[in-house]
Amino acid sequence: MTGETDLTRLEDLMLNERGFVFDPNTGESYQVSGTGLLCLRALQRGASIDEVVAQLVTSHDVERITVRCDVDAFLWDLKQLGWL
Amino acid sequence: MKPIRIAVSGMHRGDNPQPGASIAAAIRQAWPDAFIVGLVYNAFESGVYVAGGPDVCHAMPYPTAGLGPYLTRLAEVRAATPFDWFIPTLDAEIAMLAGASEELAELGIGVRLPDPAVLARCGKAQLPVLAEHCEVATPATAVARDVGEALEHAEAAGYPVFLKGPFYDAVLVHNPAGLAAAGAAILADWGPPLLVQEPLLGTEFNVMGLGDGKGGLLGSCALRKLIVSDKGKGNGSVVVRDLRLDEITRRVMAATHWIGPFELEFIRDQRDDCYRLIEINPRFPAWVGFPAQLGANFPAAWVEWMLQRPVRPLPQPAPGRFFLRHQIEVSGDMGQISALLDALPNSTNHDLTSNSISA
Repeated sequence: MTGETDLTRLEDLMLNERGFVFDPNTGESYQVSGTGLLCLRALQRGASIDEVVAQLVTSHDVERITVRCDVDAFLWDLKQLGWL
Repeated sequence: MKPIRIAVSGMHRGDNPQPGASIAAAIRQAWPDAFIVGLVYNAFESGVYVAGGPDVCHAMPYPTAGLGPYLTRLAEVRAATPFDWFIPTLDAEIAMLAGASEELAELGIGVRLPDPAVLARCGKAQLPVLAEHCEVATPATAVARDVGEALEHAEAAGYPVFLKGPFYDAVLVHNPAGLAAAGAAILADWGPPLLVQEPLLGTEFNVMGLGDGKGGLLGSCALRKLIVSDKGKGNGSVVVRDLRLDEITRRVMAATHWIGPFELEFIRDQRDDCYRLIEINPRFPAWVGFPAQLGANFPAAWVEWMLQRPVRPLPQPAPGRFFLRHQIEVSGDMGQISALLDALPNSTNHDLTSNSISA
């Protein structure tokens, strides 16, 4: 998963700075962590997965392999929700 | 410009709210000098006593009394407090008045409703046929003339099933005894047919809109229910925007050439994520006041349409806006109740405690 993501549903998500996420398509709402919020916002801007990982490595001072595993798990959740 | 004089029914709120009080408020929001006549079936319809509510209220005979007594009473009410238009809000009224536009016009009362054939096509019994025509999924439904037939259908489908009446009531029954009791109660209240419907698991969605009578829409608003009462009413809902709901709504409008207010009820089936059309209500829903607060005043647009004025397409409220139903106490005086009852000459409706008709 290093290419561009499908933004169809993702870009419609409404986010706020506290990690509250509203899906206008389903009416469901969610709470994400600060890291998850950073991920979602980056993906909405059209960042690639590699760019998201790089941003997290820089901002959180964590090994790249660890970040990549966590991001992949997060992306799996997003896919289950139909956002990717 | 001549002030708008309009009658509205369905003034009860409470735990099983009707839309009339919100329609009156929305009309007044657009035309503060509008003269609004409330038509009620019960002196305890709470919208009668709300500040800014109807200017005057009159008691009406129940639609079950028949068209003749209903029109006679409408004529008396209009003679006492003239009005030009009537927005009926209850299914039983609409079923009765849909074929009576000429008689109403002779009384000087304008009512715009879908014709009886369209109403029948959108009724619960015919819904599967319409849904198939519109390529919209709907729950498996069998029509029964009596409890015996309903038992046969339920046995074939397997319990539990929803048992529904022609206008109101939907009871989840788990066995033949439960079905027999619920069926007898529904038949006693509303008459046949009974509908035996597969229960679905999923989230409930509603779409309210106005049909232009030509297959198009003057506007629509889609909600997801957040809080569902034990009567199945949405006590809290949030605006959603799903293009699939928009498309289904457009197809139903195109197929029916629907005139006026409607509400489509859906369940988003958790088995396949598909919307299944449960019901079409031929009227404004009880939550009609919510979009009016967000700039989408459906009752005002409908009045403009009836007056043959240009109607600007209604804006879709922004996704994420929500409502919560909030109950308050409204106060009245027994003298007001007495005045309402005195105004009814045929004394058919003096039971203060009877339940009013559900929206």
